[in-house]
Amino acid sequence: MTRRFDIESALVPVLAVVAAMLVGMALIGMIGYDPFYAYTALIEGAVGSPSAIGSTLLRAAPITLTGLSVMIAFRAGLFNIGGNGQAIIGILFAGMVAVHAGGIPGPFGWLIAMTLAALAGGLWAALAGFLKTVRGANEVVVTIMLNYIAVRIGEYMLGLGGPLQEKGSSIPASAEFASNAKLPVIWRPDPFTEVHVGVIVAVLGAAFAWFLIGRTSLGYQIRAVGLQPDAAEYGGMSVTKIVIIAMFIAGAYAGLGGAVSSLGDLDRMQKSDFGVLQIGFSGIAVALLGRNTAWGCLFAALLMGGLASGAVGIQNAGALPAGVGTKLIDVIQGVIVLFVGMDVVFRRLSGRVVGIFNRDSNHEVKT
Amino acid sequence: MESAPAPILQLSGISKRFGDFYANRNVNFDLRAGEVHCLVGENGAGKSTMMNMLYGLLKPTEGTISMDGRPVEIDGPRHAIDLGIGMVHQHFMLIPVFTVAENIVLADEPTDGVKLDIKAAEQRVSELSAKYGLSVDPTAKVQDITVGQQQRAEILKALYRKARILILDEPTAVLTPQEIEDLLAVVRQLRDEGMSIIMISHKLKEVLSIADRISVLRRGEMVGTVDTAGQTEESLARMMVGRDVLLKVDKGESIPERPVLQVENLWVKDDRELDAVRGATFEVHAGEIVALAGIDGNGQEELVDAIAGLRHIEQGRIVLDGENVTDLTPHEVSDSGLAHIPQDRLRRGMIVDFDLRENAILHDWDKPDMVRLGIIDRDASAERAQMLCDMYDVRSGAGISSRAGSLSGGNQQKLVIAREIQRDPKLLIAAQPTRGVDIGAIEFIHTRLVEERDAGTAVLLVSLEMQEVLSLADRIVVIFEGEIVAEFAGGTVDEQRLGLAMVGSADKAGAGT
Amino acid sequence: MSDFINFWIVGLGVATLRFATPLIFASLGGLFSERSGVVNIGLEGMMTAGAFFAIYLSVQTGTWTMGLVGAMLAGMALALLHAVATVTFQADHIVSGTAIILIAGGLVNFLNLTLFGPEGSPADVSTPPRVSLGAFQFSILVPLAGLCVFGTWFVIFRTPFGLRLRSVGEHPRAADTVGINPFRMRYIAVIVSGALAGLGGAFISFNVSSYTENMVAGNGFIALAALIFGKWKPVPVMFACLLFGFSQGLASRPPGWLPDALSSPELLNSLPYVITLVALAGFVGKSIPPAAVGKPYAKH
Repeated sequence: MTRRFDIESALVPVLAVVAAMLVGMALIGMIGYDPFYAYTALIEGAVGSPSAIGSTLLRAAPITLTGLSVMIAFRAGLFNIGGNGQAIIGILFAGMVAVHAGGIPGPFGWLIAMTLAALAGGLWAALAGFLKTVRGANEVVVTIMLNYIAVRIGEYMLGLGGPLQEKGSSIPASAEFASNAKLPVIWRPDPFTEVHVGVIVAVLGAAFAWFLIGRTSLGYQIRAVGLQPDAAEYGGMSVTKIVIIAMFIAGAYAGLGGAVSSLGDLDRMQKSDFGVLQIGFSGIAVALLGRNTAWGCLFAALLMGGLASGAVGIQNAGALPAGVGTKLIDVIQGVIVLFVGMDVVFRRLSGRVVGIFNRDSNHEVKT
Repeated sequence: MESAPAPILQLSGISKRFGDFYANRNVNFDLRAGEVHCLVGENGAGKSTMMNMLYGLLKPTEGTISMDGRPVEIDGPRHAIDLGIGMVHQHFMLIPVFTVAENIVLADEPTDGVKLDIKAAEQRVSELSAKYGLSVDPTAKVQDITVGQQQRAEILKALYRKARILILDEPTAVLTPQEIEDLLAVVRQLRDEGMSIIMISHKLKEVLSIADRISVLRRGEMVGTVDTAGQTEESLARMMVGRDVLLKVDKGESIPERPVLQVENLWVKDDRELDAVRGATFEVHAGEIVALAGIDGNGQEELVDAIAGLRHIEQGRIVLDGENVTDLTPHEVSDSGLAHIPQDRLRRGMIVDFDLRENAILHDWDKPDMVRLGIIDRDASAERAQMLCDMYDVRSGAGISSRAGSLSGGNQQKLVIAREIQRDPKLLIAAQPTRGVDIGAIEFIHTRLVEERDAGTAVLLVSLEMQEVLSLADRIVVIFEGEIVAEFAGGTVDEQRLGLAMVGSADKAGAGT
Repeated sequence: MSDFINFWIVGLGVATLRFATPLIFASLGGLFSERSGVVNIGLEGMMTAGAFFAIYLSVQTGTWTMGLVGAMLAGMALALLHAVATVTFQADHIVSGTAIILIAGGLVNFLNLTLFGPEGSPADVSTPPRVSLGAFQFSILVPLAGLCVFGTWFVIFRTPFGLRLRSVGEHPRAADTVGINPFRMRYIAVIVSGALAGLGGAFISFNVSSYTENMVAGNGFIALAALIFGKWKPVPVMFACLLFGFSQGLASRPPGWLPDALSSPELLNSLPYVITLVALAGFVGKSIPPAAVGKPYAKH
């Protein structure tokens, strides 16, 4: 795959972020607070200290993986809205292992948990790929339905009397994860911030996705199927098989994302976690902002992670009323998605920005 | 002496530019009241662009359109309709799930209070259809009626809107011969009732039989307008093309050897689940070019897809060099020795967003010389692509890292042909290999096909161009409505007899040699 | 016996209507939008906005009618955003819908916190009156939903406007060639969609007289499911909503005779999604959407 550097295309996400930040400023101003103070706090919270950076990395890790999930499905021509559901299935399987991992020697606890999460998430997503290619069901609606089914399954498993609920407890939650199933800590910038191995998993995940899509025969087939299924079929590829495999890989990434967020940041599974899970949706934003490239997803996730971490900075600095910071970040994230989605506007705009820099070479090219 | 009647519609100095490309340049045209004025020209000559400007779908870059002597600026279809212009598009503008009546009254619906009065609509349609002899059931859904009936619905749509000027864009392209006769009769009747008609076509015989005057477009420019009287197909063809063209291909005698492709009693369905190929049987031998001739849509596409494994075979057998390939996947058929230049290169033949290197290995994503351990060998694929480009003179902006979509049609096609021929196939299927390709590339492609034949490959050429069939084929099989209706040895048949065979009325004596 | 009647007829009946009504409003909204060719997965966000603004304006003005107007306007504002993105700028409908959900969720909760503070909305909120029908008691929004079903059916299938709207959803270029402006039709349809989704959201928050975060809880997506299950036709869509409402009603009060494994409210709650999956997979009659749905339309 060749990707010549296309400055206009690279500017689109930048402009979208700038525009979204301006919308955020307007909102802050509207409720009578100082946007500059709030944004200073946001930047402080994102990158202002080692622990801020650690917190940003922790928040970026799972959404890098769900972003890559959306990206890979996109490349095969499918819109994977099902990241949440796949992540939940991943969490359930990882958690199931983690609760019982005491008997598993050393690091195999979390490794096995993560592997199972990927497999389970993959199968859950492959179901959508199957229904799409074999039964002709639109994958967007299918993955949305699968999201809610996964939520209900999770709530059932951890509800009172559910199979994964801690025996004898009256709290709808699982038993505590065994310590060797928790993701190992690799950096502790302060006593409250533990950067775990999930960050490395995310970076490796991006590298693997880049290699898979750009260098391998499977990636070649995935892209061919996504761009022109008729041509892929003509080239002898099985569109059905490739779509299902691509969805499996996508689901595996989302499942991993779920496992990273659960085994990395939490001590147990709780019934109430599933309904409010956001990493799948954030993955869509990450993939769009990363322009559907592996490294783009990594950068976009860092930015989104920085915003989320910055919301805590806003909270701590008291720059906005309690709890408002995170809501503001939700809005900014939504506006980014909207603006990247309205690509045309930004292409026009970024074309103009580029035009200012190379006015001399702005002669018409004959074709 | 009476002077010529004043034009009802006049285009003066009309140009339409897309970027640097002139689709129409300084076109002058007039339509008299109550005439049938045919507009002819090759594909891409700018006929549809011109009509889309008349219908307000495009705006002219320069020039004026006048109606009844007054200049008008047509700023949309609605305005065109209000001015009395009706248009029947080449691809019908009908909504398949609506009824005929709903389609016809859309946007000018009869109402009963706020309610849509569908009974009144059906009534009006019935009246109109009776008046002009355009029989069609107003209550039928468009998706359930024939193409000919759909066209009548389209014409009724214009009549319902009280069109004075009717534009017909290639109305006969999709019709059966009987439907064509019916349509021409309707056109005559409409003219006799005072309608002024512009008809676009490139079927010169029809044009000569129906037109009062004929205008010829060539590469966006108006070559001239002539009275039909005194014109012949040859004289019109010369105006269209600009010079006498007869494609001559240098080729020696073919020496057919063993049969490579054997198609036996093949039945294939189309996308609508109707029988498209009905019991076709024929052979292609090594070292010969067999042309599958026929009018578009007579089952050629389905037949080729079936051979290539791209379409389900209902019944029958396909044998490729002794091996039964009937139920193999496209990949397996291709590995068994089929190379296929597909009819639609932009849909099938290449991935337009891939670069040339990636397009060069479209069949090779599992071949050990291009892929090792699941990883694509970039050097080997680049080398392959470079070789194809050098051998077939494929020109591109940035060499093998150019996006395939950025190449001209001719260069794209050369890339596809290079890739397919280089696979050293036993059977080469060339489906409309010169469609949308410039003259220079056509000659190049024809020469290559003959070379392939001489190298001992069996070549199946599918073409809609009679000239191409006649000049290239060693043997011609004619397909009509899914059946093989005639077979000729190359050089034993002229355009007229082949043409008759293609519309299913071959003189049985001459056929089946 | 009267326990049985109380439970089955009254209890479950009222619960069914309570759960089905917001779905009906929202799925009718989806119907307008998708019949015109615009996919609207943003219904969820528009309902959230409706839920909040119904309470907010009702509190501010002291009348529930203004609450309803506010809910509709809020839904319409988000819908306008969706229309601008998808119709004018040809954004992918799913991308834009996702953005609408994110924006609506964030913005509404942002406003909730800043306007009402952490304690939430005050206790005395003016809500729509209840009407009684024998033992049944329900909000007047319930019959309004029924009226909307009839109204939607009439507008979409019996008026010139409806014919034009459907033509744009099936074949916008054909509509364009007879002088219908596909852009305008789609704007109108999407905005109507927002108003209806806003009403659905208002029902949810009025029902408990307050707004709480995440209270819409996937109802917008169930409405989408009902729209597909009901094959884009108002009356079947209504029945789909009633069916889904019934399964939610059942989940809220699982009857004793169901085996334990089946009476888990979570699993009963997942029924609408499972049913829709099965329908989508074509196992019970294929759902065929409008032909041009989700496809941006551009002039030449």
